[in-house]
Amino acid sequence: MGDSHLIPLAFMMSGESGTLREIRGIRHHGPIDPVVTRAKRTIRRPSRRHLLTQDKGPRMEHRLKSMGFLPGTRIKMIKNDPGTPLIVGIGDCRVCIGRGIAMRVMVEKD
Amino acid sequence: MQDKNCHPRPSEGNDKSMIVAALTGNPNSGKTTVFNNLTGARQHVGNWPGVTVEKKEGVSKYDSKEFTVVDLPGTYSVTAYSIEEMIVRNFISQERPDVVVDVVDASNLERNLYLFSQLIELGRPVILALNMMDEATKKGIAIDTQLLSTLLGSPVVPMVAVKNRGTEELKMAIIESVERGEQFREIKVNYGKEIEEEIEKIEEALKQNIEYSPILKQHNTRWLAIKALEGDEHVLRELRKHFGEESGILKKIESSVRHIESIYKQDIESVIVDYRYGFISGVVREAVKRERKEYESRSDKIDNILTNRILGLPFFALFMWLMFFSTFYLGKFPARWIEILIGYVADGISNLITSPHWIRSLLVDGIVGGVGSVIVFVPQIFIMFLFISIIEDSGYMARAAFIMDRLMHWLGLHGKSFIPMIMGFGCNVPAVMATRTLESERDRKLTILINPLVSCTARLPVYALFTAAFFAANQGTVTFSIYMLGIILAVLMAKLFRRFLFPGESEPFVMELPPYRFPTLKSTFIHMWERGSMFLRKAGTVILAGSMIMWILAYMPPGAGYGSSKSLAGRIGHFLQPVVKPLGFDWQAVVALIFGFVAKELVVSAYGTLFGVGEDKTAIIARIQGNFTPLSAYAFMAFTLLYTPCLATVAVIRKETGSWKWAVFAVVYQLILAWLVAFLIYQIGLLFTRGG
Repeated sequence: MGDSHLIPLAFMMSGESGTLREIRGIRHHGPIDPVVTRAKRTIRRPSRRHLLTQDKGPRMEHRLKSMGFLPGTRIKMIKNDPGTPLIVGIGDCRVCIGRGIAMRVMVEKD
Repeated sequence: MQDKNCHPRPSEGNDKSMIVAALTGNPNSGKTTVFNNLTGARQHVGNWPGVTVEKKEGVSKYDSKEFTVVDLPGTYSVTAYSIEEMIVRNFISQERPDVVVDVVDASNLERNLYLFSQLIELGRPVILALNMMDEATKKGIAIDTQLLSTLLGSPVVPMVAVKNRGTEELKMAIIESVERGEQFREIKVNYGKEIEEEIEKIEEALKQNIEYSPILKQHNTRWLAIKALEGDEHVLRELRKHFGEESGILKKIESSVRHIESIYKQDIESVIVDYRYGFISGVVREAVKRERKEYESRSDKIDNILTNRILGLPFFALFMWLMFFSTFYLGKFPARWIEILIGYVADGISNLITSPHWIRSLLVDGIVGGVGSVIVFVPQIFIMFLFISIIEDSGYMARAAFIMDRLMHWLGLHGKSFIPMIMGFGCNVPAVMATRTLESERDRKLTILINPLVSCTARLPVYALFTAAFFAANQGTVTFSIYMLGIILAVLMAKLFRRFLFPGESEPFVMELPPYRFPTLKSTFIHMWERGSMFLRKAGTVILAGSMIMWILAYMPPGAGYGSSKSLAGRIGHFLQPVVKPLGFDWQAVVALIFGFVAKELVVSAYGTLFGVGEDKTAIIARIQGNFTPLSAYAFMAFTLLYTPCLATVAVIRKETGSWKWAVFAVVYQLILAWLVAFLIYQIGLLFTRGG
């Protein structure tokens, strides 16, 4: 990948800061044509299994975005202690974020 | 549509229905404080139709004009992804409030305006209540409210809600905006040429057909078009329902989506979100000046200690200890006063009404005995809720979730699931509702299913009575052990359910850590009162009715002897007693437990009524000592803790999980669990006492 300067948010140490570059959602993985998945998801009623596997990506991504996790945002690691979730600062807000999802938030470190 | 929202109190003089203002905002923006400031004590708590989300309404007054304020749930956006967000958008587009008030945190304007950018698309006038201006100033943020108002096309009211500043101005803005609409200029988020073109095309197609659909008609067509492009499940479902699966309009939407995504090389939802933020950052750049100073805020300093890897847990344990200590020990004093007072009432009634005997018995044994024995616990229940309110309002609740995350992970859940557990110590009903903040359905169901094992305040009277009767010397330790038993079993059941019912990992999570705030006296007391008064109401309704039914069962048939084994209650109890005999329970315990299903306090009321000794605690204790041994009493307390959630909790489980399946499952599994645990306690205990 050419994005070698990006690191997952979860790898930032306490006190470090950087700029959020992208959120790697479930849907953006692999070579699947996003338009096809999109059309399927919206127009036909998705099956239960489909919902379970596909839906949490956009839902999570949307939630992150509505809480201010946007590409270009300045982000600061407030607390990254082993075994606990992370506390990150976006502006003056403090958000507690699970390590799993913090692996999908890609940051360019200062 | 005329009588919607018709409030019992019509505005003076004219028949025109009252102005309705809907209050929205991000979580932690101080919305509830604004609501309390606007309405004071004049509020009414209910539920939104069909869902158990709390609906609060109140009446406010400005310049002798009254208006209704509806408190909508706090949300970050209005997608179709959660119940709260659906409520907000449905209320605004279907009930069409005269004005929407968006409460925003001025110190975090950018993020808070995201909701605003979506609200204006719903087609109702929006007032921006710029709350926490003092904190913004402290952080070096200067907001040009005049300019902001011009840029957003809406009135902007600066406020400091915790100090009740800006409330009158907000009231004025609400009244004026309705009486003279001219303060609003239509502002649109511009989504760029390509998307705007597609929006227009879809809008055109919608406008031609929309009159025939009662649901679609209520919405603004631009909003519908944007939502359809975004792939909003709810809007698409309505469109499919109305136009048919293969209709031209759905094909049009599909091709628009494809067109836009091919241009932006990104999914459309993200593109739209980016445009909204583009609009917001444009506004903020113009109207907000900030001197950037890197500083460690007070909240961060507190967090350094309270969420510290080593110190966090001991501090949390200390707070919990303080909560239980205050509830049990401090609560005893007012409880004693109430007890004395009820004693006077009972004596008074006995002296006043001497005949006929049955009326006296109904009043003294049935009502005073049943309701009185529960009312005594009101102070303790209020103290527990007071603490839970403080934990919630101060911002510590989110930290507790953070601290407990590691432990919850071991259960296959994450820290956020811990919040409902703490609330469960108050009452399981709001606790089950609080699971709604969990993103994953499976995590949510699991959290709901184990929640009733957390001992709520309604079970407190039972422990208090039984520990007083059998373990007077170490009441505290025994009660504590019962609470721990509940927690341990919740942990075990969580492990079990995760393994067999909801296999897999828990989902990742995000949760805002609101800045610490010193909870205001007013809002803390309002919260405590809202929840605690539920028990008072329950005492006046369910407990009263239950006690009266209990009295009838104990009194009938005439001549059988009150509460004897020949009475109706006696017959029912005897019939079912074989089931609980291995647990060491007698027939009266059976009757008490049957009533306890309705509400767990009724276990105590039932004893009060059944023994026909009124609320006189010492008399009840004496009778109970005859019915139980310390061992069977302990088994009985464990059984009360674990067996079926109360009726209200069962109902809320049914609503929140959306099916009877889980409600019935909760009842059945807990009955089995209770029986097994009580059986083990009693039988193993017997071995020891006999052997010894």
